[in-house]
Amino acid sequence: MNINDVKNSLRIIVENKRALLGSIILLSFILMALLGPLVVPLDLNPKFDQVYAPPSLEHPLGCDYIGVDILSEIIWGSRDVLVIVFIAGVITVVIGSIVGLISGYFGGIVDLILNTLVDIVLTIPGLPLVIVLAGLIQTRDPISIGLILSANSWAWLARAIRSQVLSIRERDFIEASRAMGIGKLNIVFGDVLPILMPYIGINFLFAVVQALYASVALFFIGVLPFSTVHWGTMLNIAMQVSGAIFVPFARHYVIAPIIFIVLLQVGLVLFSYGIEDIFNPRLKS
Amino acid sequence: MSQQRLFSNIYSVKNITVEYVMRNMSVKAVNNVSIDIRNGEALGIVGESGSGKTTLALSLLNLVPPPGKITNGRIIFDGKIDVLTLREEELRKFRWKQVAMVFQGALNSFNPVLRIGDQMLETIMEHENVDKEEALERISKLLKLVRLEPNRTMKAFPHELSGGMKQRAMIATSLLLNPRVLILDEPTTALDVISQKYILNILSDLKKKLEITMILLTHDLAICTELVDRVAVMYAGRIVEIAKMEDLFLKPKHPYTIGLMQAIPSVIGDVKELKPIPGSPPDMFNMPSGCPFHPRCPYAIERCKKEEPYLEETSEDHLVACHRWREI
Amino acid sequence: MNYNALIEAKNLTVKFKSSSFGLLGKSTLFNAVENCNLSIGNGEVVSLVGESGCGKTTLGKALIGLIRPTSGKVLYGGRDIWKLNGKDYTEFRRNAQIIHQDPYASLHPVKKVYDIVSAGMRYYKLYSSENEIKSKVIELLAIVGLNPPEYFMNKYPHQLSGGQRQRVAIARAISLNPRFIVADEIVTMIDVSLRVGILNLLLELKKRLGSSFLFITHDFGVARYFAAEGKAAVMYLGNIVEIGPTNNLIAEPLHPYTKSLLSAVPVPDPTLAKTRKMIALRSIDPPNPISPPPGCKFSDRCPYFMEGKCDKKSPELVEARPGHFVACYLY
Repeated sequence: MNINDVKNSLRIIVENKRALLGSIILLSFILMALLGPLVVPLDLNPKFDQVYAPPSLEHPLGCDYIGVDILSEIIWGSRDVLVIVFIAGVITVVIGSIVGLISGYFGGIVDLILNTLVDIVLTIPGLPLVIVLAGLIQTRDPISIGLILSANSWAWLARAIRSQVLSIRERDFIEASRAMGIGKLNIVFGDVLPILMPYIGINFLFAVVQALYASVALFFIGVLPFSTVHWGTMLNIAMQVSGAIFVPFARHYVIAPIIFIVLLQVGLVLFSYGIEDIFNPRLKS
Repeated sequence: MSQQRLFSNIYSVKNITVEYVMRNMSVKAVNNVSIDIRNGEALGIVGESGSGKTTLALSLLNLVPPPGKITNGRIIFDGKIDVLTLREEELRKFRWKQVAMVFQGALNSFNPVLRIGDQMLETIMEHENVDKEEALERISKLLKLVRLEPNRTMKAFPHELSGGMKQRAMIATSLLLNPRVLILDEPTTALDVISQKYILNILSDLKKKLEITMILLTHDLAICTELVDRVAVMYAGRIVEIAKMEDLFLKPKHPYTIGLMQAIPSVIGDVKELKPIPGSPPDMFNMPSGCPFHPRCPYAIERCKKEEPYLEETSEDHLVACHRWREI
Repeated sequence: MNYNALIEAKNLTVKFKSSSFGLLGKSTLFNAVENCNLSIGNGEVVSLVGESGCGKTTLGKALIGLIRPTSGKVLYGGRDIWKLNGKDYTEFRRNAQIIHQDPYASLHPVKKVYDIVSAGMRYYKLYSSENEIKSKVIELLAIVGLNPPEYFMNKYPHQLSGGQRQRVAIARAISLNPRFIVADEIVTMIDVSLRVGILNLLLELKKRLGSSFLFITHDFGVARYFAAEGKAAVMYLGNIVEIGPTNNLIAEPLHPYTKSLLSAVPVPDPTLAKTRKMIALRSIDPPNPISPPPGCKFSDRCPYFMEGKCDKKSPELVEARPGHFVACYLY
């Protein structure tokens, strides 16, 4: 990676309308997570005269069940959300890629062992596994939560990458590297991995989306520790504690986190359209 | 071109230009080509990749795929049919019934899940109103002509036949509706040398027996000695030389033709005299001015860089597009 | 066999599983390469001629250790390459290189020419500084005719023409100064007018580096040009059926298969073409490689077939003329 590659990537994103829109959305979220809490104060003291206050100038998204401003909750919650799902995405992709690359290229007994492991993990239903793990390992640490969230998703990626590696392995340029005597690990990470970068990049974004929904689900059903500002928890409280979907004037309390969850997902998916282009050498000139 | 032609022309191609339009550029795959194809002859069109030979052949059937478009010229078939103005339905009848084409890589043109006989039958029944018995009779006859055992071949699936056998079956299929012209695009490229020779023999035989006109597209100049009457050499979308086959080989006049003959290793001739044509193939997006061959031509002069040469008759039935043919 | 042989195949057999069609998918083993003996000396050029499916690519790759033989040996400097220890194996690996047929598939699509050509040097840490690597790459690109080298260095393969890509592949192959190079149909996918240019480059490299070549092709004309001063070997369905000095073999082919091949090759001479007749074979189409005829594999097509002899046992190579061997009971 050098300055030219960065300039090229930026140019590609700007030229691809969908990727551009996606990156704007994502950047907004990142800014919100980083700078938001510095700008917007979070006052968790109940203000009973503002319970379920509808959206207004002072409270653009209205107030929740104890009168706390929803927008500030969303902003403060975004940091947690983004960190957790980003970590989950990275873990999924790193573990899945390494397992898939090694088992696909090395073959033999290594492949047998890793593939069996992948098979076992794949037969366990994803969401229930995550729920059980979260329930057992009560933790607040984002990294641990990230690991829990990727407990199942890495296996699917490993399987997909393995099958791609099986076909890439037979290609002439790989054979040329073998003829030069270049070592297996060197070939796997130096020759095979660059070919898979677009695939891995896109899968990273999808892993993040998956983790987003999984984490929202976990907080929603209350398996993960209580944190008022996490959007999932907000949904939890909205639905269960205050029956917001049944109470018409409290609907904004349910809808606000949902909108942001969906918006984040849209941003990620749109940005993924640009990933393929970034890694395409034909667009680099 | 000279008058007094004793043959009638099955195809009269005048000033055909085919352009591929992409974004803001257009590339001329075929550039102002005119040629008369004579009834009953076997014409070889020789050219390397980018020469335009396949595009030219496709235009004879008005089959140029988008983003390609025939932007100029006329093609008259058999003195009466204006090919480029035919409407959809008439064009469908024209293709395959009057003119058939065996495409490059035709080995893979058969449907892998149907028997060869069924596919050939379907071809006839779709275009003509004949009863099944007569159709089968025709299929059998054609298969024998291409030296395939009819019963075994008709019952076979494509994967059960070798490359050479599939190609022969493909040729037979193209002849099912008794076309007047058969166009073959690199019919032997993917085949071994022995199958190739065999197919060229069969084609030569077919030409005599069926009195059909053949157009053979190839990059292998040597094949032309086996089958064709005339050879047209194409370069950068233009015909640069047309002559009777023997004349072309014994007295080539265009520098590209001469260069080609000196650049192709063969089992005869002196190996020490071989030399490559300098430079690289023409870049369709960046065509040189004047004669497209001038950057690589050992005889190029100032005039060649500015003025594009057109086909001139140098002797009986031998045309060259070169300013300096007299001196070479 | 030649005692000065650099690379030798001894009774080399490579069996492959055939993928078969049909519900019961019974896969059978067949001999892609069967009982081959071939030796290539230092600085020698051997062209391996045959039709597609005859096993020439498999034999070539087995000689440089990319395919493991099912039985038989491959010797480098007299030693079995599959029994070499670490250091010796590395030395062999560096000295046996390949240039592939398809210039579009043999270069890494996401790497620049610079990285592709310098990969080997980098791995073996042949040079200590980036500058040294850079000047070596420039030198290699200039040698293979890609001028100016600084321009081509930074290109990606898709930005180059087929001929240029093939030159990059050649630059990569010679980057480690190998003693033995397998060139697998390297001009088959190149435009006809450019082939001689690539062949001349390779011949020049042969002079400069003194490497040996195994030149695989189906085109006798190309084989004759490249291996003019070397040997030609003809393969049919996994067997080497004839081998001898190139010019002798072409002028006087001994094996009926070689004779029919040479009689079928089109020549750019109309008068000669009229008088040449292809040798009539008993069967035009080659047999299924999975189920060849018993005995000599050419027996079901050979016009000189002798019942009782040719269909019993496959003939061995015998020296029918000085230095010219043929596997046929006619000799």
